[in-house]
Amino acid sequence: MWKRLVTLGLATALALCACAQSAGSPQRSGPVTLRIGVADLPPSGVPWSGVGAPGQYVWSSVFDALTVVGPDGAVRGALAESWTARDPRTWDFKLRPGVTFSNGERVDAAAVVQTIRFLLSPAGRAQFAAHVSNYAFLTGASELDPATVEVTSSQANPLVPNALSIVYIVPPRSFQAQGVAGFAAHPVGTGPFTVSRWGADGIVLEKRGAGSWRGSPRVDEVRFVPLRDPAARAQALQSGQVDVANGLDPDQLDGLRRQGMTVVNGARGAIMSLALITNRGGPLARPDVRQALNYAVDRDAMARNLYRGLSRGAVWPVQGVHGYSAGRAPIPHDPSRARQLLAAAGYPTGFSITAEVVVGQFPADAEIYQAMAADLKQVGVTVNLVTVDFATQWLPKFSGRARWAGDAFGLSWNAAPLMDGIRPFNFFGCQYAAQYSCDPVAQPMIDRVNDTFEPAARDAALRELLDYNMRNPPAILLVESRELWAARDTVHGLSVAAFNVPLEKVTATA
Amino acid sequence: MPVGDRGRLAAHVAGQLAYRAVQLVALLLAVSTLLFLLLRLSADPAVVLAGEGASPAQVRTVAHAYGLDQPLWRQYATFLGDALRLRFGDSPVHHVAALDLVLQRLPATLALAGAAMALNVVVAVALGVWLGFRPERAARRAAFVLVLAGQGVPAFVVGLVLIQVFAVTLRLLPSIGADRPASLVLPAVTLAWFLAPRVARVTAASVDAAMREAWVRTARAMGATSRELLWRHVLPNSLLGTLALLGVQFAFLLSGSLVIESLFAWPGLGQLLVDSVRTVDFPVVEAAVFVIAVLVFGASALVDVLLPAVDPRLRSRGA
Repeated sequence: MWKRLVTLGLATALALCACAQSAGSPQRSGPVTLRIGVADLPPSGVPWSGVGAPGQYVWSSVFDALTVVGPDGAVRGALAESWTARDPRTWDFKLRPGVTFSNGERVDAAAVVQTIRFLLSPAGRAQFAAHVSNYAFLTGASELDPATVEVTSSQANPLVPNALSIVYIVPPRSFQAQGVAGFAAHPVGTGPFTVSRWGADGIVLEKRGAGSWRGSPRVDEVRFVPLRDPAARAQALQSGQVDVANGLDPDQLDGLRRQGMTVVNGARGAIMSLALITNRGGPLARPDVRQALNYAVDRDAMARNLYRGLSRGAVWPVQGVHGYSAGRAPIPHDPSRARQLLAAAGYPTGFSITAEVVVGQFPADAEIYQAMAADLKQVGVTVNLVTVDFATQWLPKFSGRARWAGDAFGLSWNAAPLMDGIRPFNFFGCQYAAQYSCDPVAQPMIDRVNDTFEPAARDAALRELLDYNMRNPPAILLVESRELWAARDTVHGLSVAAFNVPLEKVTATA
Repeated sequence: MPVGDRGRLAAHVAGQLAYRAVQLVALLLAVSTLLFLLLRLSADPAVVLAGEGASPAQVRTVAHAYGLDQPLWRQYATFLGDALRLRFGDSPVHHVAALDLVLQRLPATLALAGAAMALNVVVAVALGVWLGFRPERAARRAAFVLVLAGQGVPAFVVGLVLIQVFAVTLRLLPSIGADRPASLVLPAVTLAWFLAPRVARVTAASVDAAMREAWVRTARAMGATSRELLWRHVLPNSLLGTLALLGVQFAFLLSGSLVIESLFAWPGLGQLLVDSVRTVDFPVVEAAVFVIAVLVFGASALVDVLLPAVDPRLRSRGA
């Protein structure tokens, strides 16, 4: 009996060892592969299947749009070399000459027009609704000559070049031949990498043989490995199974730094906030109470302790977003002033509010909401935090399909994809379909920014709005949200800004 | 096996299969209906697909495109008609056929379930027999305590510890991906760790109970050795409960293991299903649950067929 059991045990162990042979870190010889452990893979190879993370990490290496937003928030040329506004509703984009898709098709005005027209068609608007809603003001595109595209909008809008930075251009023949479903698995673009495999267990990009207009990548291959759990991502990095990991928690980074890893602290053009529902009356309808709540919160402590110094107290807009000013400082932590304002407003003993928040979206977000609640408690305001699911609870309420259960809700002020400071104010405006906040002083300022086309005049109007907002915020501003990545010491040149990861600039040694 | 027994077994199996086929159809109908209603009532897919900040007009466009503006009964009729033809539609998130997406993940789920079950059977049954054969011995009592403790450790903790030891420190095994046979080792061991204590306990209890039976004393009195006693008499009588439990565990594994897939980047059904529920990707949820229901039913039916093959008493009862 025992001999049998021992034999059986040994056989199992041998089978496992045999399986494990040549396991561990694969030998890195030959072509240089960059392996990136990511929290999520893009849902599809069709580059309009979402905005921002996780799609843009991959799509930005395979595709190009007419424009690209740089780390400083400025719009630069990509497939378009230059552009001009013929009138406030008509833009001409001059294409970069000699650019081809990786399948050999030429990038010309017809290709650009076909992409834009598809997205603005009923089919495009339905299938890629979350994407198209970012540039719903576009009305069409037409070919002026093979190298010039005319883009029109329904209203005078200076952000047309910004919006076009997420409209990745696809090759018309390949897209038509494959259809959306075929293209989802076999995407083709103009970027420095081509897709060699798109699967549930990972995405493999290969350096484009002929190079691209963006230059030739310094690594031969990039593998995106989906690793949902942050601890597993860190362990994969430590064990050398991946070279780069994204979406790490701030408290993981100290340990990784000690092991020689490089931390990449990228901007995502967003801040965490608690949006206050101000149009139902009660204390939150009063600007002085909202100011008091902002004075009560210690943002520096959150950034220092919960973000491990990798973020800073929220100020809108953040660096890298149009409208940013270094002179605009976060609201200071001043609990005495908060108490005075509350007392003057008739709430000397404070009050209670319920806030619906989504956690797990940003680094340390659960802890930051808890810290906010603790700070507010110090001035007599009790916050009952209720965690809700984003898709089934938060989104229907934000869209006006369901009613908020509380008095406030967690909201990311996000500039992407336009990377312009005005974006969140359109959700705080009196005209938002699911209105929850309406500041009669701020609304004319919002309208002025939206209605002004001339850049200098618009910048002045934006500045006025942004300065007013920091004095009278419709939300409790918390901390800036950051993209926290880490890379092994064999990786150089990695940068992340506004969800763009220029992988063609990254070097990796075996 | 005598000819009469063989005939009875065949008749029993055929009867079971026919009965199970009817059950399967009823089950799929019930599961599909329930799922359809839950998905439509729990969230509005059009709102999710239209995205943050979409105008009411944009939400209506999406709802119209996917037929979500139709009355519920009409949506259900369309869904049922399509499901009968195994057409679950395209995923509005992934933009490919929902059933294809599910079937792509199936081999990974089956491979992990099969490996974990194999390991579970080999380790847990042997351990259970050892524990139950002479449970009064001190070493076995101590081992039993360890089994109980093992059962209390969550799978994600075991997984993280195994990764730390075998992938990070020793660098013996990979902890991510599904591209090499070695990639299967850590997820399979983690899953087996989760499953084995229960099987070991049930097997030990059955062996212990069998060892107290009068026929064991009779066999001993007639000169049977310990080995004969165990292999010929005790084990066949002790495995019924174990086999039933293994069937339940295998059925559970077929629905994918979210924690394991998440830790080890294993491209199985569990993660797909959870992601699809999160994004209200209703065609994928419906296709995945449909496939899982068929698999679970198949596993359960297989156990029902196997049990009489192991124990003749069940054949005569069933005939």
